[in-house]
Amino acid sequence: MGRSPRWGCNCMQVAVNWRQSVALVGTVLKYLALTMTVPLLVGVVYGGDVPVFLVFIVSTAAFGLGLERLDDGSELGLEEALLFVTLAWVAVSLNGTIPYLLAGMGTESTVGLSLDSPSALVVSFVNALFESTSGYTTTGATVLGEISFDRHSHALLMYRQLTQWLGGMGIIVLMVAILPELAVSGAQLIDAEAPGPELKKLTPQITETARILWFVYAGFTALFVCLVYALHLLGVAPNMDLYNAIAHGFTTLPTGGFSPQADSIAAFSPAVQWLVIPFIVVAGTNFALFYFVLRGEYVEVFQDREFQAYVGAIVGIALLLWGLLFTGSAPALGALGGVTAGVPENSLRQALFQTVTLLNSTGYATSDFAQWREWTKLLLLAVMFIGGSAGSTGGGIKIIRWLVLLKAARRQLSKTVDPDVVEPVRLGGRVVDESVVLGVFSFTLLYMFIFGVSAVVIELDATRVGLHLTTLEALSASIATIGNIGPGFGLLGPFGSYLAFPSTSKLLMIVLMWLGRLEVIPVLVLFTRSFWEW
Amino acid sequence: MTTVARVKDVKYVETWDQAENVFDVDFMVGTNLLTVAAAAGGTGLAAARNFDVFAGGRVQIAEFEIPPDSAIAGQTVSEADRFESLTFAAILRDGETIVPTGSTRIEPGDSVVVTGRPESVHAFGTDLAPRQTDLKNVLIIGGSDIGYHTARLLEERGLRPHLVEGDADRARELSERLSETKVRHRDPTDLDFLEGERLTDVDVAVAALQQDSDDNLVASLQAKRRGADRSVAIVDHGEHVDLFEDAGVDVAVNPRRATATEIIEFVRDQDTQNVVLLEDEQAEAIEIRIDRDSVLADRRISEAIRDLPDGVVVGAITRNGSFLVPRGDTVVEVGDHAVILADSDVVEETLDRL
Repeated sequence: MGRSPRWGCNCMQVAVNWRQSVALVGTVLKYLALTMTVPLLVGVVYGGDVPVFLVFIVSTAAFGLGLERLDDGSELGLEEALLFVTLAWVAVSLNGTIPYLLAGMGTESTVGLSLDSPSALVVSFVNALFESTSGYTTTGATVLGEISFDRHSHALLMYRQLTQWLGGMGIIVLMVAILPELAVSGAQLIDAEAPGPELKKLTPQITETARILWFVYAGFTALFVCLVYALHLLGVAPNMDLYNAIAHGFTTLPTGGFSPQADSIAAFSPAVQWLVIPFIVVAGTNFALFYFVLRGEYVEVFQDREFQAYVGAIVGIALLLWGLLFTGSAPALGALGGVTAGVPENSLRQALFQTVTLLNSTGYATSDFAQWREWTKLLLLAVMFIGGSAGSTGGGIKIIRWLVLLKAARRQLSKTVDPDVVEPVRLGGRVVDESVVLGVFSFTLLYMFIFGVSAVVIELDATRVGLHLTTLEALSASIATIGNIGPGFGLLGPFGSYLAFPSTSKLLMIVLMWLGRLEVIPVLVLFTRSFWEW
Repeated sequence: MTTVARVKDVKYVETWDQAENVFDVDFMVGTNLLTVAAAAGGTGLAAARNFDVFAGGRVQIAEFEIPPDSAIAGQTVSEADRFESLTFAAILRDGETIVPTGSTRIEPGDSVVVTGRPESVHAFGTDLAPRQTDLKNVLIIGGSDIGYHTARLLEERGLRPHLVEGDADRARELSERLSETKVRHRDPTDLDFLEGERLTDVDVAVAALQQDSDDNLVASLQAKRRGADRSVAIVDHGEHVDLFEDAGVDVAVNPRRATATEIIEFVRDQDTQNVVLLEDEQAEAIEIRIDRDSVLADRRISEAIRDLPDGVVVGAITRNGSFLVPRGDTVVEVGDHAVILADSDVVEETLDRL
């Protein structure tokens, strides 16, 4: 054997065809440039930042085409597919900083390029990367100091919304849907990107499945825009103009949470808030189920254990929260939530809205829950760990994993009494493969470990720069970023921002957002020796 | 082949597909498996001496011996007929087949043959022997095919049996297929196991080991000695059935005892779908598809029966898959399936006219 990994040359033989992965990232960027005609168009209509988006489109396309030249025509293996998915997300996020940096250059913008000093340059770049990553990963955490059309153009704020829409169903899923050459390795690509432990194979062809997912996703987005705009035309939503309707359409279905309004959904009338709730619920539902609805197989939906648990969790938690708010767990919050104590409608609306938005990782807010009573906030923190359904755009640990974990734990208890009992884990009558059970355990353990360590690091780092952060706030910062949720408590509350954190913490959070969006394991596997070796 | 026609129910097809030997498996699904399940309890058939399923399971026929302390002993048929869609097809008394009318009195020691929907037949059986139906804890020793199907049938009747299997992979496979059964991976022939298992709580132990009869005999006797109320064993050789039962096994079932019934079925024509012999071959129940030449076709039963020999009863009719209670004025249509009960002496004659 010519090459022995144990001695001799300490360099390792890289067997992964990374050039192929990078070339595909180029293809992703090339198509991404096309979608940026949306903010360009907004810039033309409203005025402002048109040159920024022209430069952005041209540079993105040129960069993409350049990377594509690395293509050597070979097929994508499993390693190359995994590498491609992570690289694509990093590249898209990095590339996405350009509009923020250029548009904000020389203004008060916190994400604009600053050339005053080397340290200011670093801070501005980290801020832009944070905003871009938060967008594409549908987290919804922001470092914009002030969200207003005085500070930022309509085009830039629409661009910010659009990044969430593209990231929601997944840029890779979109690529698989439109690029025939990805059909072969499409299943692995989608497995690495799509949320949840296993993908429901809707059709034998993965390209077809990807198209159905995007079709359902785009369909709901269009329906949302039409309905909220209809409310505006009916006169019950005065400030929900066409711009706002489209902007929120871009961030509701991907469980994003960005809003061009500083007051998020609290800026709109109760009618709009009620309408947004069912769409947030839909966004956290397995999109494969809607495919069954389209085919008239309604029973499939109501018999789905994950869907039952998802709806059950929402109803249970919302009722509990309703009781708490009704009995005075929130102070009078004025424009940001109003009076809930003793007011049935408002307390129900606030309870339900905050439950769905935090449970499936959207991150919109209609109430400043950072000011709610301490143990109500603890309840909300617990809700953030639940996550959406597999095959949805929601982040977090996900309902289906909790179901598998609970059932496997219960099995372990009965095994303690009867060691020789053989009992598979079942979900709605279907046997869950033992390798999936093990995968779910590994994922959840890694997820909780990373969450815990990060919370400690965030708190220590904040103390280092003299930023006061309570433990609850540090915990919420960690789960809000790895869970792709967005808001937490304290200064990072629903109407606050992450601006005050030191750049080191922001970089950690950027990594957490990537890890959370790609569900940890496809990213971490790149850092193992066996991945790269032959 | 005629046997294929018997495997009508979808859930049996799976079993049938896996079968190496169509005869055995077909029989096992049809009658013998139910015998095992009935012996194991959980069905109203525990007291039945003989039974079979017709029309893909939609009709059951069963023969019960009437114990002296039974509520219906001494009643007339019309008094005893309290069950929905149940027909008293025949009374077997002292070697004779009596065609019952409403005023026929049922005497203790009679054997009553009833046909009808499975629920009704079970309800009747439960009424006769209520004590044996509160069986709950069934232990199946061995995960053979018979063991598996027994567990499956018990599950269908709402029980949660226990099953012990020595092979790890087979145990896993069974646990995946049987959602309500508690499957254990242990060597069932290991004596320690029987010590450990709380057998005094076990109502019925069914020995269905793959290997051979000896193990089943030992396992069922052991189980019984250690406190199981009843024991059932699968026997490979038909001639050992009596031997097993003499040795102390409550019920011994031989999967190959089908042969006699199967052969009769083959020699008869294609329309005859199922045959069962009742009371030591005194009478036969036959399922037949009515064609145009049949004396029953498009006639009322009360008329048609006059053209048939004495001792023939139309027990049940299924039309397009649903069950009909045959009455005198019921008109039998071409394509119906009829379950006919006939005295052995007149079976051939009856079949000719049908």
